[in-house]
Amino acid sequence: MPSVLVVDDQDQVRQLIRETLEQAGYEVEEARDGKEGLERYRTKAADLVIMDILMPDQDGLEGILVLRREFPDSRVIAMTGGSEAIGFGNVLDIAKMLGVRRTLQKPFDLKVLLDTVASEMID
Amino acid sequence: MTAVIFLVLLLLVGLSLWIAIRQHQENVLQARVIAAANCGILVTDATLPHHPIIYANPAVLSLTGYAEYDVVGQTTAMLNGPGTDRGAIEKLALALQDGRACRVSLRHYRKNGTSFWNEVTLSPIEDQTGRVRSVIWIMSDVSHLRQVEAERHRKMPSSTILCDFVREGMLVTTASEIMYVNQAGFTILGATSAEEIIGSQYLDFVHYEQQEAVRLWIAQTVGSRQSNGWLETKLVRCDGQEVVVVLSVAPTMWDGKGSVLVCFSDRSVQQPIEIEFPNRRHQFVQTHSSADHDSWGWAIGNGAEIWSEEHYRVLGYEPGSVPPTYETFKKALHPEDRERVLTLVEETFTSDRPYDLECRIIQPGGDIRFVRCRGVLIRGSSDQPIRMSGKIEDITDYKLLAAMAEERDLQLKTVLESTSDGMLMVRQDGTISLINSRIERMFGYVREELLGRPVECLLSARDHEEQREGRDACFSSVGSGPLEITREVHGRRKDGVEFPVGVRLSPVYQSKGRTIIMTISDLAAGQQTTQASEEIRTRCDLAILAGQVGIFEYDHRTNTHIWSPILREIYGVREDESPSLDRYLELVHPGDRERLRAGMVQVLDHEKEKLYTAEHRLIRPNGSVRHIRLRALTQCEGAGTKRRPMHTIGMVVDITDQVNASMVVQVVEEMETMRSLIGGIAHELNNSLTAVLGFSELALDLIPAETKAHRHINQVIAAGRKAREVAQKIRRGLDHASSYPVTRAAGINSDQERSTVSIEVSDAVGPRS
Repeated sequence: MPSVLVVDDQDQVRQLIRETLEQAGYEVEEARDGKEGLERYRTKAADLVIMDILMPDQDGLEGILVLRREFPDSRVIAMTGGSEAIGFGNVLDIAKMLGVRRTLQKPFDLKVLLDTVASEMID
Repeated sequence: MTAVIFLVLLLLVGLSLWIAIRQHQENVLQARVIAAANCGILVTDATLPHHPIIYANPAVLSLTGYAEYDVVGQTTAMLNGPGTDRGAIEKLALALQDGRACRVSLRHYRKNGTSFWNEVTLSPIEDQTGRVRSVIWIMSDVSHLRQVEAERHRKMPSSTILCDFVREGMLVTTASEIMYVNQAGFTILGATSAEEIIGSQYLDFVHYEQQEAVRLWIAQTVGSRQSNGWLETKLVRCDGQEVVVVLSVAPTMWDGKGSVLVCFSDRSVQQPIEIEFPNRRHQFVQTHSSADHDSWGWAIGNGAEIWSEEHYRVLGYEPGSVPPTYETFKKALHPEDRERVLTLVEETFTSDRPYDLECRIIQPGGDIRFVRCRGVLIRGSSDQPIRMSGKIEDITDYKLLAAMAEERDLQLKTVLESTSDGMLMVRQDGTISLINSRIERMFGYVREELLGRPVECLLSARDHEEQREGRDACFSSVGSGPLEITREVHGRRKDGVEFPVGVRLSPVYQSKGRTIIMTISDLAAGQQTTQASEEIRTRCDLAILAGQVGIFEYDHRTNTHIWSPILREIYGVREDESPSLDRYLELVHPGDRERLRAGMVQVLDHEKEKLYTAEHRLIRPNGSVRHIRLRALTQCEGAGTKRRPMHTIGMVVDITDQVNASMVVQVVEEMETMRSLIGGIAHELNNSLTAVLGFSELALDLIPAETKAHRHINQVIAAGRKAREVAQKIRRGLDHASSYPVTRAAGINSDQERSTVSIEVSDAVGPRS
């Protein structure tokens, strides 16, 4: 069973992704920020990580940077509800520069979520 | 009967023979004892003139190096030489004449010319009639004792050596012998060295009529350990002359023996005058005008203190009008100097160093005088302080003269050093007597290298002759009126490099004779300076032009204004328009005018020069509004209520663009804040919509279609999607705004009238030009 690690500070978003992916047959783990996500990944490497970008403690960009440096083969989907207008530039573009191939813009349809995860798993 | 007579005669003869033999034996024994004696023994015949020597024992011959035939028939004068003390010779002669015993130490000379210290004791031998028939001279070589004594003297404490610097005679004596005498002491006693005195009895030097009185007086003084003041007495010098002295004594220890320190001064130099005070008898010594004599003395043992008349006068007192005490001296000291002086004086007790200091005193009349105080502490051989003495001199006149001379030197030096030209003084022989530091820098020499050298060393060889002629002409003109010779010649540096100089010779008279003041100007440096000044002015003009700095000046006394062309351009006024303060204030924006006027008044109210800075709006005659920054500095004269402004100079810069730019930055910052706020709201909205839409979709799958709940969930999803579109519009709008031109966003135009006036007054520092 393919495994997915969901990293987001919003409980409702994590729960939504968990229920959606578990119904689709994925094994889902959760973390509240980039630091916790990295610890969980070190304990048990997931096949895919869905990482929110704007989080209070360690944000997603820093989490992606450390994860990709430590585990270059790791697969990550970057996700955000913000825009470049909030002062970080185009954060999803920055995430792509760190090795992320697919991104999700909140709010998204569940079908979009499932298609993106499936595509990332296949590649 | 005959037989009896014969027997008696025989007995007499036998007795005579026995006596003769016994006499002979005694004579032989006596001769052998004399001959075997370690000390030298001479016998002279007192019945003949000059006392010829009739016998000398081997010790004498050994001591003097003479043979018996050298000595017998001669007089003891053969032992005298150039170092023999005349006083000792006379003492011996008097003793021989009087036929009495005598003992002296004197320097005698051997046959080979070497000398030795001979202690000679005379013993006259009288016959049955009491007439002196012969004299026995017992001689002992005491050179080693003298050496020991001299060595001991050398090793004496520094304080006893210091006694030799005191003008007062001092000796330390026991009842039987003098153990120490200082230089002044043996001089007063007519000796040439201390050795002539040491070992003698002190009473030997006292006139025989006064010996008993002196002995009693000393005994009483030492016994009571109290001051009995001073005693005038008569001493007999080694040369037999009499001298009147004043004595003071104090008990002391010397080489562990109880001794007496005797101080004595030649009465022919000092006249003691006794002054009676109610409870104590004081004396002071009237000193003659010699500056070398002590002006005060303090016998520590008995506390007696004496001041000379001069000492009283220096401190501002009539002689004898106050007790001559240390307390009186302390009271006279200037309060600012008192602690220092007393510390130094009292340190003498621990350091044994004489003190020599300058300080101020306040006389009873309130006059402040500068004095020089000197003093020395004398210790006994047991190291206890015995006596202090010293001198106080009024040096006020000297101080004033020194201060005047110093001031004149300072003035001369200031004049010499304040000029930018090199200046030197030339003696009549052409040598340099004085230079200023400019000469050192100009020619590369240090002062010591030039002083005393011919002035031509500073000039090229080709100009030497001309220089000498000019100098001679200058010297010959001294006294015949002012003459200055100015020429352009070639200077020569120490490194040989020559450069054009202007030389001006001015003859002057000095107390030491004629001299010339020579002023040398470095023409090359002058040309360079002029060129450099021109360059600086050009650069300054360019900087003013490039910076578009308007300059204004205002002479308060004549009410004259000057506005530079750039200033007129900034103000927008014509070149032919008369500048004035009123015109300037007319141009100032009405909203800023009063504050500007108040700032100007504030500047003029300050005691010190103040830098006036103001930023305000100005309305040009064409109606356009400009922001300008003004800085000005006002020079004033007088102080307090008499303070008046003289001259104001200032600069004006148009800062309209700068003010506008700062406004744009402010607007952009406000927009950025707004964008961040909206972006944050959008972010939170998106997170919430994700949950709303996602969970609605999940719930929809669980609810049978065609049910009312299914329809309601669909309505939620539709509303959520609409909200998502709104959020996306907001995001796009913010993205678009971030690339929008800020100046346009700020909506600024150059003529806007937002007030930026600010006025500041600060200390005027830094360059003003």
